[in-house]
Amino acid sequence: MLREDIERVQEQRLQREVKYAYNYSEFYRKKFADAGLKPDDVKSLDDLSRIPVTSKEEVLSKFSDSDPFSGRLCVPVDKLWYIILPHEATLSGRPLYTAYTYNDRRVLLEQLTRFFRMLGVGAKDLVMTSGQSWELTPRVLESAFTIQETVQDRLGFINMPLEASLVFIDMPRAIYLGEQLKPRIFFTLVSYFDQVTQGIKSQKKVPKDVFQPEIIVLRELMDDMRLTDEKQKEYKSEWGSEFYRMLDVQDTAFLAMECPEHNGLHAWEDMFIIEALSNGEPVAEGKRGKLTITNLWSEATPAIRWQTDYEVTLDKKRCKCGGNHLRIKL
Amino acid sequence: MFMVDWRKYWNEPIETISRKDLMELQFKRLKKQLNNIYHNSSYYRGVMRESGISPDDIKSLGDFTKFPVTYKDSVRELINAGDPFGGLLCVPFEDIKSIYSTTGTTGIPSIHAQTKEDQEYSAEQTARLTWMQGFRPGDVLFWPPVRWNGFIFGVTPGLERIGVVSITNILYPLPNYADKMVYALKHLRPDVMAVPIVIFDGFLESCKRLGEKPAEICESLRAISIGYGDVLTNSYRQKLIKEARLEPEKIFSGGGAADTMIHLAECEVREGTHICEDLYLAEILDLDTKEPVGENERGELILSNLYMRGTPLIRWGSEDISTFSRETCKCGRTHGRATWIGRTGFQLNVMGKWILPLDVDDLFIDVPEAAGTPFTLFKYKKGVMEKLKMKMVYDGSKGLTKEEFRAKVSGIIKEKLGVETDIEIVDSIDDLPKIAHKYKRVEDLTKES
Repeated sequence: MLREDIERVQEQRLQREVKYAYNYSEFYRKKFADAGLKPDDVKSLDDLSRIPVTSKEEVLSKFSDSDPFSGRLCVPVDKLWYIILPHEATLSGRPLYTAYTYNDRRVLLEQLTRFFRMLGVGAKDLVMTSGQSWELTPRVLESAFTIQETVQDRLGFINMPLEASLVFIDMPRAIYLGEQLKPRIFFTLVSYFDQVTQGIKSQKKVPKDVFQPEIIVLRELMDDMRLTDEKQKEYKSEWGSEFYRMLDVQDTAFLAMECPEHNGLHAWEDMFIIEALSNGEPVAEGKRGKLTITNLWSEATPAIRWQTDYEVTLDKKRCKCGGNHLRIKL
Repeated sequence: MFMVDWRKYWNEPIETISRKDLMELQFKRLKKQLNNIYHNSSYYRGVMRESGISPDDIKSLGDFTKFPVTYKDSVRELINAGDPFGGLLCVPFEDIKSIYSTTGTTGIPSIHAQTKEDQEYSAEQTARLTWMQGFRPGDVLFWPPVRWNGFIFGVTPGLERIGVVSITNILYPLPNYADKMVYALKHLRPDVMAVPIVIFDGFLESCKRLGEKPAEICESLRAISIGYGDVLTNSYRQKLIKEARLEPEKIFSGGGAADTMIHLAECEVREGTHICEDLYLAEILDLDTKEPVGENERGELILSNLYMRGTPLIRWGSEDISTFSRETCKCGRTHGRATWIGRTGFQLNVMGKWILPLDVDDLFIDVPEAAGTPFTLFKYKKGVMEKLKMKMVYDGSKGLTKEEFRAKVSGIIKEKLGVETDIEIVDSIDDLPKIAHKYKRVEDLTKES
């Protein structure tokens, strides 16, 4: 896709999404009104900066027991596909609930399918996947837990799901299953993968001698263990596999993943507008700023200029892999 | 809100099929399955050749009793010989859709595989049994599933088929699992819930700590399907009704097994848990003679999977002791009902008396201070034990001191079972031994020595 085409799509979708959020979400209606903004004021991508940024803290501050979605929910509950109970400890009693409709699900499905295509995953490949039972991403990847269309249906691979949250029970089994069945791809959470690596090492073995997937995708969640450069180097020498880093922002079903060039994480710009902000203002290309995401297709709980705590730089130049969608550098 | 008058059965023709037609269907499917395993599974071919049976020798359901019973350990030999599926896999590897395995807490995990067709059937099973408990389209469901569990592979698609909106909570024993449950039930007001007993106990403890009333929090729920790993006993049901003040008509027993993928569930009549007999053949065998027992007599539950093509389990020893009734249920369903009694390894010999955890549990049905209180029995030596050694949770809010509680419990056991006790009192369910999300009802201390 050419850059001007991407921007044209973004412009159309942004106008629609802003109108939708204004009409159906009490949270955004108030927010826009406070900023003196009407949906018709947003006509081009240049108007994006007029829309106020939203943060998780702000949403939670509007939380009430009678409206746990803080006014963000745009559809009736029985039209939903899934509600996420967030991962982090909720001692305050105020979890950030996020909801998804079947249409929201398709956006995630499309993103993930593109990434798996990029990896060259196909029929007869055995993919071992670890995820947490309440998570969203595995639910569009694996067919084991759904009758809806999944990436597995689209590409035809064979799947072996594992539970990442109960790692103390699951880790020995992951090692056993890996050793027995030799998966070609291991799609895993960073924290889980770290435990598996340590588990193998505690048996006085080298990971690559136990099992060596061709491809290992390390998925990083906002509230889970994060990947550092040293860790990545360490894993590489211990496993000898090709590693792909993936970013998973559950709050708005956003994914970004490395291509085989391993030069930044691609994000799909026909579905999201990605910005790097510093103090609420966009930074120049190549400068560091907070990763801010606008989901252009959201139906249940829209996220417009949703600010995360990731410090990133953005690269909009065409990648060597041929992809024209921007790359996020962490 | 307006109410829709939903149909009573998910699949009426099959759920109310006559016993005669059901047996014919079972036999037809069994024949097909026997041919499948004979030609495709190296394990079963070995078993059948050894005992001199070919699929053609089984001419009626009665002949099937000649077929040997398989236990987890029997398959291990082939696993050790290098086949991860233990010779059970009946389809080419590329026809597999998903692979699952058991926890392997009692040894190495056994690996199973599911095809797309298998999933359709297990989804049908769950749709039928959860519809029976009142799950309806558009209902918000609250539950804490585990991803590796083969049982969940069939349950989630089945729930999706009905069209429930699911909210999945984290599992025991992750931090704050129970507090989160309190908040989520309060905020999201789900319509139905499926929950293991351990987690529900944690939830009740959390309610107490947070000063919430379980009955108020569960007010929005129409059905609470409870069990999953532990079995809902009469004594526990009393605790839910009397102590947590839940309405009895909301409570349903439910459960399943990861290896056979069988789902068991109670209907509104609450006389045992229904299974789908067109999908599973259930038999009860005498514990010693391994011969079929009469209707409603207790023995080991033996299951044969009639639909599965991936790794079917045939005459699989579930190691569960139960009774089975094939009488038509008052709810109109003709499919049989199992009533669980215990695990085969759970029998303890105290002063020559065989005791199962359920025997102890049943003593407390009418004792409000102790009904449904979780406990673990200890097998501290091989052969005959002099005392019943146990660990039990004590709840200070019921008006007894620890000593009074201990005296009361041991008094009841002495009176009804005639054995002496050695009871250790603990303060929370966290102090009881567990396997994943299940209580260890019996801990075998003799194994380590």
